[in-house]
Amino acid sequence: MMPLVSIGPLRLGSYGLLVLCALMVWWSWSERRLKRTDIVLHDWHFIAIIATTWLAGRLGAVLVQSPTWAGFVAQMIQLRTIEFHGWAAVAGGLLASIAVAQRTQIAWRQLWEAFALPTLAAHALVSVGAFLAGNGAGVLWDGPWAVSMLGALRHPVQLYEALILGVGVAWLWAWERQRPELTAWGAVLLWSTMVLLTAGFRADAWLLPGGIVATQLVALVVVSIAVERVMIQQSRLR
Amino acid sequence: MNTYRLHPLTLAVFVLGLVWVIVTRQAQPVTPTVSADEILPEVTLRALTNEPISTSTLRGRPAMLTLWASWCPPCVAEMPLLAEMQPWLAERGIEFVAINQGESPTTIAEYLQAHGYSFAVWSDTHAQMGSVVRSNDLPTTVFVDANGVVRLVYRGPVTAELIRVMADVLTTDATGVRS
Repeated sequence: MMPLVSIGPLRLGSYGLLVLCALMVWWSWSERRLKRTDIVLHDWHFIAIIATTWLAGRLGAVLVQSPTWAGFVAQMIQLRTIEFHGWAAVAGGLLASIAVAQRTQIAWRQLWEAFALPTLAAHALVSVGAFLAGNGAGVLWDGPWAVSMLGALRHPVQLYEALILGVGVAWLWAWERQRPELTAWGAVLLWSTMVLLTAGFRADAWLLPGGIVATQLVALVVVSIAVERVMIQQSRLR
Repeated sequence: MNTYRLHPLTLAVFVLGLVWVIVTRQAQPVTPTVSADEILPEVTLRALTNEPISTSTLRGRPAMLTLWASWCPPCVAEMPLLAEMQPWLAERGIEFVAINQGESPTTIAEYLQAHGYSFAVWSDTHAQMGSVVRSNDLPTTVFVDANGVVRLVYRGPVTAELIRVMADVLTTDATGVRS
């Protein structure tokens, strides 16, 4: 089976197309949300954030996989694989957004309020793409909704991620009309809750002694901080 | 002195979250696993004739092992390049084996026949190799040197450039002398 789309050396299958789709959704929705607050970002700012997220995600993927500098260079310059390291991509996107906020003198919180929901919606689309391509598969499981992936029945963990994020984004978006001030921390709460609920089902999880999933512990701390912040905001509004 | 009190809901969420983390903890893998710069453990797979075949038979020569499946589009897209590079690798003394993950020997044989591929293919019905090299992605390519040391576990379709670079790495010993 050939890739669905070929652009020069870039060959896109279902995963690549959904990543592209996620980027377009993120860009257009963020731009529209920014315009509502009279903030205008130059196209180059969006491109810089996307490029940094992409490169950081690739860098993370390659550094995890490659033990040799020779292999590292060859992997970084080739365009046929677009596998990303999620946490590295998030870190890259955050750093680039902070840099844009500082350069444009826009309050970081305002920028995050505009980016939060589109970012989570984009993540949901990438998760669907990962499911279609078999990336980031779940742990072995033979329950009623197990899927056959990589030669075994597994938890469809990418669909859990997409479902939680999809429903959560729709709920936050509807709620935003009544309580716009809750979007920023609400989005952090949604993302960290998704990681807390799903990371235990990922086959590529980083395990601590006793089989505890490290990312779940990080997510638990973030969830607790986000709940506390939302509660403080709620009590101030009363 | 004022003491900060967490909201009761925050505490409840933290406790529930902690319970969830413990409930969903994962069993430690029972298969031996390997990272880059470690020796590839002995794994018994099957040839397409159904005879058992061990990864230890590769010891003494460098090898490129590709984990693949016929239902996996990036694996299928990668196959023509692998078929093209196989004679080039053989000239340099590098063994190339495509290790199928999870399919029956009949399915594999039909696929190879339909596409005219003649390189060595082993069957890994229980997808053990993915667990051993800690990769849940297909395709995954494992570059192993003559001493059985894993030099690179590459997730995703390889390129000719990467194969050439890794062939140099595999055929050059620690002192920089090419074999």
